[in-house]
Amino acid sequence: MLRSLLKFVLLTRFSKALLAFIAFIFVYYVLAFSEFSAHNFYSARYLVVLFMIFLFVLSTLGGGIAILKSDRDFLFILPIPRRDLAVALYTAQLISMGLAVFFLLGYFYPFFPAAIRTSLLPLDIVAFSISITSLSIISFSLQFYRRLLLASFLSVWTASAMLGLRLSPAGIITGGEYLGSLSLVALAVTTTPLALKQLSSVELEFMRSLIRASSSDVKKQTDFAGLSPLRAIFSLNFFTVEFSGRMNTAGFGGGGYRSVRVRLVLLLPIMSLLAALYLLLMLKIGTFADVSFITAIASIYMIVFTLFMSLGVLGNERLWLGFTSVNPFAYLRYVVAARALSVASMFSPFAAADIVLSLLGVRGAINAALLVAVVLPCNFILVVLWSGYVSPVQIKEEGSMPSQFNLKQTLNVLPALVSIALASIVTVSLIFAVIISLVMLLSAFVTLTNKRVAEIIIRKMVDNGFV
Amino acid sequence: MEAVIVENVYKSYGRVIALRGLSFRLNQGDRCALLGPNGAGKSTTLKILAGLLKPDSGIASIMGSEPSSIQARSILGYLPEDPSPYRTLSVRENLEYIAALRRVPDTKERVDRMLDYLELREYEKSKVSKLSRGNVQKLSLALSLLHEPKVILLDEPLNYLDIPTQEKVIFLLKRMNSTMLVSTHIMSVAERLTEQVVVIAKGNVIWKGGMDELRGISKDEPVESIVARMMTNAS
Repeated sequence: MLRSLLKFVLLTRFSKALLAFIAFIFVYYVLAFSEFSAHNFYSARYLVVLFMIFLFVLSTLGGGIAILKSDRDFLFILPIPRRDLAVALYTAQLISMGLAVFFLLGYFYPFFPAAIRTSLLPLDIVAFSISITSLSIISFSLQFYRRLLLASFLSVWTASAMLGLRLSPAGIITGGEYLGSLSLVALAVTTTPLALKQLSSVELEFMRSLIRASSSDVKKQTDFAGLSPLRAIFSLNFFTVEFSGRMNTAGFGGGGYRSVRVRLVLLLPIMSLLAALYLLLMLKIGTFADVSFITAIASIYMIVFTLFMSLGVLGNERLWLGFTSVNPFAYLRYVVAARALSVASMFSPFAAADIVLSLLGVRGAINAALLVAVVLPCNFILVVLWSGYVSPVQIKEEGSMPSQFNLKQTLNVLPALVSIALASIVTVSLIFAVIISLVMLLSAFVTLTNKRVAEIIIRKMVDNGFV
Repeated sequence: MEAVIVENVYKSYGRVIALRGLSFRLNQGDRCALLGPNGAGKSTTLKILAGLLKPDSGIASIMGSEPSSIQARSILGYLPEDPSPYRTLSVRENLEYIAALRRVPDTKERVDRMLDYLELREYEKSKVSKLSRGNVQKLSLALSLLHEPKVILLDEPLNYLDIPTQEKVIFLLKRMNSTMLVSTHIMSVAERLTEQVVVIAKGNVIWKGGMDELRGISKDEPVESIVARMMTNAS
């Protein structure tokens, strides 16, 4: 029973091509690990902590069980042993969440000293994979503030390794590898039984998450009455910021979409506060250290943030409404432009902070300002249009997977990877920063105004079952 | 002027041919049921007329204009099967947003009238994602009729509605005097809403005429059996 259930669960959630790709990458990493020679460990330790925090945050805040609507309607009511169902769903979850560890942290493997690589590091990687898989399941039905608390606790605990605390999930970077491994194993041992218990009553958890997901009323209503079409589009897409979940890098990501709308005016003070903290931090360390590392960290977080803002732009659109009420090409153009301007406004306090730093003589700050003010919003436009061109997926229901994970969808993340690469190049020199900004501006403008591109995207949306 | 023209339209999705030279016309004020078995091409026809798909060849027009033109869009109301309004917006926000895009005058009054008529007033602040399927259908009908379109394309309009609401919607649609093309599998819905019938199968018209004419084909059997026989013979 377990074998056939496992096969069914995996093949309904992942395309065969994607499973083959994941298997190939997995085998490649395992084989490649033994061949690498050690690099400069010191330079990689910050990034290891950063990526560990990123994965903890993503699994707790953006997690969700990889279940389909048809599971709720058919699979969950079948007379199958709950234990088998829990194991099958956990395995699918491990593939969709846990293997990300190999893709993201596997890169840093050769940076670790040989003695650690062959002893405790494999244990750490396995324990970490299991931990984020289990956390993504546990957080599925938690209220948002509880998920936020959990994410904050895990972030602080992991970051404490940078201060030399050995009993931390990232303890391996401190030289206290035994205590680091102990932390991760303890986390895995604590969270996995809870996750399996939750999966054994998955139908109840699913319904509970739907009820708890958000309140049923829109508290502050937007008044569209009397607005022109253009103002209505901007009112909806510029003044409210929408975050939608799921990333899909080689199958990696939460199972279900969640969409959250936040008013830009409420978000701006928070972003200003964060920008002020960033400014203070940069001023503090800018006098005696190379600030490009902090800039790179901030940039990566902003890129990830931008990615989450881009996922629902087309996914939450309704062809039969917006696209049939006005000229569809103009509608697509205005919606994407309004969202990109919203991104630029949201990050404008960081751009302002970078300009202040630049005026105070901090090296590389003006490059970061260009990155935030120009490159990120332009990249946002390209990410949205690219996802529409490659494989648009409509979000029709909360909580469950809108479609099977497939290899084509993994291409959606390419522009985000390009922008991470650009972010590191932009920090190198001002000339590069200016050239890249101009190229991105031109690319975004040409793509956004190209009628043929819009035609193809709309046709693909219709073909992919958008209503 | 003819309100709807579909002339020798071909449409395929890759290797699958959805429409093979489909042709029919509706005059202004006509109310026509579009009947056909699953996969006959009904939804594709409506999507082409709504300007969401372009035919591979042939002509489709709404009041003499191309379906994707501004002229056609401004007078067209379209309700797809299993419609889904903007999920993160409330009921009222959905109605007001679409009214603004369509430049509907007296938005507040019209929205209020629709909310009251379809008994959605108590849900006006509710997020669409939290509504029952029946209330989503009511809202979707309101969204497609809010601008009082001259041509209405409806795909299974009475799905999920309770019987009193079905009666209300039928009354509302009949009062509108618009040209109407209704795709449905339910003969009773077709009989209540329309006077004409186009039966299609495998992407082509196999029969067209008046509802009375259809009933008159055989007085000994129900109209469902007549239509079923037509479809079976065509396959």
